Amino acid sequence: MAQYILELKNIGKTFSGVNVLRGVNLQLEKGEVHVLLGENGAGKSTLIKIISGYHHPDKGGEIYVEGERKEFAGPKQPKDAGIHTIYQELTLCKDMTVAENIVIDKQDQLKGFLLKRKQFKEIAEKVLKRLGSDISPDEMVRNLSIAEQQIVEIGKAISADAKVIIMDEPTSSISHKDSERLLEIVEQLRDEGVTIIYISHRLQEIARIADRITVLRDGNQIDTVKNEAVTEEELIAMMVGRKLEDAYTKERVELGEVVLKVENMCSDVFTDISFEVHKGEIFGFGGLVGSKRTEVLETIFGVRPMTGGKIWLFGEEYVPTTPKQAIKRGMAFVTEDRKKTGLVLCLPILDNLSMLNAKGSTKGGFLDFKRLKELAQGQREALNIRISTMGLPVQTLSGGNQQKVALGKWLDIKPKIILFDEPTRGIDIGAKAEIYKIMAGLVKEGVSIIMVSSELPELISVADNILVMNSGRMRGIIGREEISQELVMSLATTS
Amino acid sequence: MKSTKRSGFVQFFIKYRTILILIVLVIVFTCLNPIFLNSKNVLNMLKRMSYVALTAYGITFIMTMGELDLSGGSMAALVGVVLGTLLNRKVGLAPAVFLVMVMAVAGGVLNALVSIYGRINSFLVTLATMNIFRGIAMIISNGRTIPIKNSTFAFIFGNGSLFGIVPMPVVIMVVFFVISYFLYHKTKLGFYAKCIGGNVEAAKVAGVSVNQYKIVVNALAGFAYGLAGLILAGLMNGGMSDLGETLSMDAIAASVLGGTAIAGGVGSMWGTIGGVLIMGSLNGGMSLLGAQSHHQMLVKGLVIIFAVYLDNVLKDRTVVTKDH
Amino acid sequence: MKKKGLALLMGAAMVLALAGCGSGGEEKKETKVPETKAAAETKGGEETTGAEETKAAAGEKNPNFEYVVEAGTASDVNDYYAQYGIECDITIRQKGGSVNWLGGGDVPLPEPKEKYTIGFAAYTTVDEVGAMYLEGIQEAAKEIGIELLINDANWDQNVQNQAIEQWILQGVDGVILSPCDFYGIKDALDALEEAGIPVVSYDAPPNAGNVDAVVMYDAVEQGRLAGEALLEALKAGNTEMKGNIYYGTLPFTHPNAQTREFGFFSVFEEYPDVKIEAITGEAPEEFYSGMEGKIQADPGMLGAWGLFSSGTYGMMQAIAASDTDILLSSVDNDRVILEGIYNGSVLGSTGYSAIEGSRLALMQMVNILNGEEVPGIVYQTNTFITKDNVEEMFEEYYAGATLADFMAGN
Repeated sequence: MAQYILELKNIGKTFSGVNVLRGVNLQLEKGEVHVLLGENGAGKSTLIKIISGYHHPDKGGEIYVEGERKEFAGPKQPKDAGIHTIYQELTLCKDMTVAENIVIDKQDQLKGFLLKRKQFKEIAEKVLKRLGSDISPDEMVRNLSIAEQQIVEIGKAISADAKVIIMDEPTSSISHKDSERLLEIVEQLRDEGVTIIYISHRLQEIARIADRITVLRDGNQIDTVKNEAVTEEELIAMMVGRKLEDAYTKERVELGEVVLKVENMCSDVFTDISFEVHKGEIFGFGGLVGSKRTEVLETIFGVRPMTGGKIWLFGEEYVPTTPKQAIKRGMAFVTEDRKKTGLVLCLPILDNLSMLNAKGSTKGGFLDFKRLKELAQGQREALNIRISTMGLPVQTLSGGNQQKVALGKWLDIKPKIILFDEPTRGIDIGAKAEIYKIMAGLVKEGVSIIMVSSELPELISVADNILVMNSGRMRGIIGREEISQELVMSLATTS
Repeated sequence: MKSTKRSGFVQFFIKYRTILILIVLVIVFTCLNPIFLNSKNVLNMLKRMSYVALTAYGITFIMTMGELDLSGGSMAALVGVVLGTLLNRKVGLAPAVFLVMVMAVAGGVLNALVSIYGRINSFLVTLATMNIFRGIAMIISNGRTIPIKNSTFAFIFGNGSLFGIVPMPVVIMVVFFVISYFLYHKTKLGFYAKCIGGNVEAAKVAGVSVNQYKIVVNALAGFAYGLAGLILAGLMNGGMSDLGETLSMDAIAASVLGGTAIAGGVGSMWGTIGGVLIMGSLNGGMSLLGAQSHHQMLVKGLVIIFAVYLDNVLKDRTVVTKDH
Repeated sequence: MKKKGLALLMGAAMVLALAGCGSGGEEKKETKVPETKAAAETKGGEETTGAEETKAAAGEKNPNFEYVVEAGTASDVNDYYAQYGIECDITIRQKGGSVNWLGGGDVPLPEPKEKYTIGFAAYTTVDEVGAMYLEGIQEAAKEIGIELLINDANWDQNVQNQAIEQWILQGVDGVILSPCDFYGIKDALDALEEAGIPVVSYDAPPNAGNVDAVVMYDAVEQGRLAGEALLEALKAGNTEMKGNIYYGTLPFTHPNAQTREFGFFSVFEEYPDVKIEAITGEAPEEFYSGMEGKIQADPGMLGAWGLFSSGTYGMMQAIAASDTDILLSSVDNDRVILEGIYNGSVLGSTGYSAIEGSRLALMQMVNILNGEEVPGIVYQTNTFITKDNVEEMFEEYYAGATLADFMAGN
């Protein structure tokens, strides 16, 4: 049996009772580019965190490096074994130079007390030259672009003689040209005998560089295939086989007049977005994480600047300026990260529900707590927020109830358009169904909802129309009749 | 793949802002009163900066690591009080100095340990030890000044001068500047302190024992506070529990003036000494102009705001652009 | 006229300087009263003319001074403090004995021989006493044409030392100072001595280093007067001399605090059942809360004493808030305390004039610079202020402002 550079046997992972990864077996050969493919939440991140020593695999899982059994207790051991990971969130010290960052992983250079700066520079120059980069070793990392920083990360790994380099969606946030350059480097490293584990959603990219592809779905290893032996369509089919657990079918609501019309909207991160939303419609945004869907919502709401295009709101031209303005015009925005931007976790439910009402509920300059309480009580009943008392801090609630509070705080001001970013992120199935029901109730009353979702089944069963985005560009709008998971996925992953 | 480069002048100004502010101050004060640049006055002003400088060396390490330390001034007072007490009990000068320095280092280590193992933010830990150290100093001294009459001590840490010209505290300030500079810029200690402050995850991934470095840096800072305490006691000819009440704040201000980031990861010893010189020049210059303490405080505050604002504004503009 | 002129000159030589030592000894008897140019001008100005004017016109003695120690044997501050356990090791260079300023008139200011530049180093100028010292010296310097350099060190001895070092470089003729730290001032005094610049201290004198002359007050007497007033009030109320007296003092040692304590304690020495207990703090609110606690715990207390203004003020507020009529005695004469005396919430307070203090210091300094020999120590007057004299004393301490105006908010 040939000796694999890295072998994973029966790797599984359970987080507080939830099984997120099951029975993964991988054998990586020297000088191979091995792609991990899967939807968001398929278990890729968990897998690489296990390989890089951040998580311990469940009992029964074994890791072998060059035939030798390894137990990783922290991020240091995998490095010593020659496995380096380049995360999406780059782990560079921004205020240190390129050379300094590169040598951090080269432990033998940092033995002893004194720094050998001259040698640092030589090492960095050599590594950067090998990568064909013209970055100066003395440049501060802060001054580099994301793509350049990735090259520094790669330099860090190869200067420490990495045998395996794991790259987590390296091209997700860099330009096409930079991606080209990065892929060339990947190919070069492969030719030099380095093994690359490459995580990406971009199918063209994968077709170009992959030797083998492992597809994960819902924590299961669906298959590991040779690149030549598989088509894009087959890969997509493997990725999207998921079904909505609690099949939900939306009650159809007759769509009314156009309430929001967007034409060629641009910002610094996306371009040329055009769509129309009708009264009573649930309009979906599909695409991969990082395809800039949230940014579209933020631009409409006035959080980030719009650099081009036109918007009509209820037939009148509308230029987003501030959230305050947007709220005045009848919009509400339930944000994706409710812990950061949706709720004040340490404050009671009542206060969170009253956040927008507070302005209109004063008596002689003082807050009218009685009225606020009544309003909040109304929302609590309408949304079926299950709590014992309104005085509890929001952080004590379940995800589903938190989301209801995050939504509920908007409803008393009677918004006509609700921007809903990942409405069911991190909440359980039962609560999901309730949220869908609430959404259905809202559209019945004539409210329009624009929702961003990374869960394809949800998007497909809830939305009337879906706009698919890919890397800041609009790939098309799919109507109710033609919607399928495969279609959305293929638009989202190919350019 | 290019970052926006700013014009040469702006770059120059950013890089040398500390020294430029200092030069402006020196010119202004000298114009208003030429005695400002009198060599004796300069040496005297340096003498009065020396203990702030030493504290600032320590603070720079701490802040670079992304931590804060408010306890320096209290430790300096405690060092003077304990030293005075030991000398009065007929302990020899050398052992007494050794003991108080051990105490100062131990105080720093204590700060680190409580912060690490108690999982308490260093600002809060040192807010507490700031009170604890000063409380102990008050208990030991019973609020009294403890006169120190050891002439050797007075010479080395107080009114003595090298070749009859350079005051000893200035000599100590310079010697420890060189040492601090070396530690900060040329050794693994400073390197990892920057790395920990800049991106603690990166440091952990690189296998740096973060806690160990925290302890060492705090110990080092403790040593610096100890020296500051010795100089204060030397200049005051005694230990007093109420010395150095603004010392930590002045040192933090000086360090920030010199470009050390409160959030960590950035700093330089040249900047710090520049910051100390700015603060000292302000004090000395305004004193020469007969400004009252209230005005001095006001101006000091404004200068700090100005410097930090400059720092933020300049940094924010370093936007990285991507070409498409 | 000639004869008179000669007499004037002779008198001036001895008296202007508050009487010299050695050769002029035969003139010195039990009570020497100094006369100065300024005083002479105000009192007998029409007599002096021409050249004589530059020298003092004696003849009439200033009855506001009183000798307590013979000229030539300068009273020893060191011994004074040693009695109260304060380590003090200073030398006073002027050997002209020591005198009491009895008050009751303007402090006479001598005419400077040249235009002198004098540094005035205050430990603070932001409390009421500090502000009045500053106001007094500024006014006085203006009167006789002295250029004044001012430093307010705000309790930081390093700041004060730096200012003094700079004054030496600027070539000041003399320095009037009150230390922030009574030992930490030593290096600055050494530097002044080396530069040959005369030093006069005001308020409490340094405890280390050498000065030319000292203007101070008898702080023991201040405490004693406050104690006696409290004792009298207790006796008048036929109170049984058994229980606690609380006094507000500083948390650290200060020569004034230790000496005032001594004076106060001495009054109650013969009453073994009277316990005197301290409340420490620096700001009024600390004494407020401290006193409030004591009133709760010990409502039957005999009385209270504020050793200095913040103590009195905080305790006064606590007593008012508790709606009791605990007897409160005091030292210091901040305006709010005087108002308290007027209102009856403070039974009385030992006061002294900061304006006089700074004028006396300037008088000493100018005389020294003029080349005269002066007394080593001038004691300011302590006056115990009660309801009877409070209005009058207010006007004296605050340069003619009236208590009525102050209370009306002007």
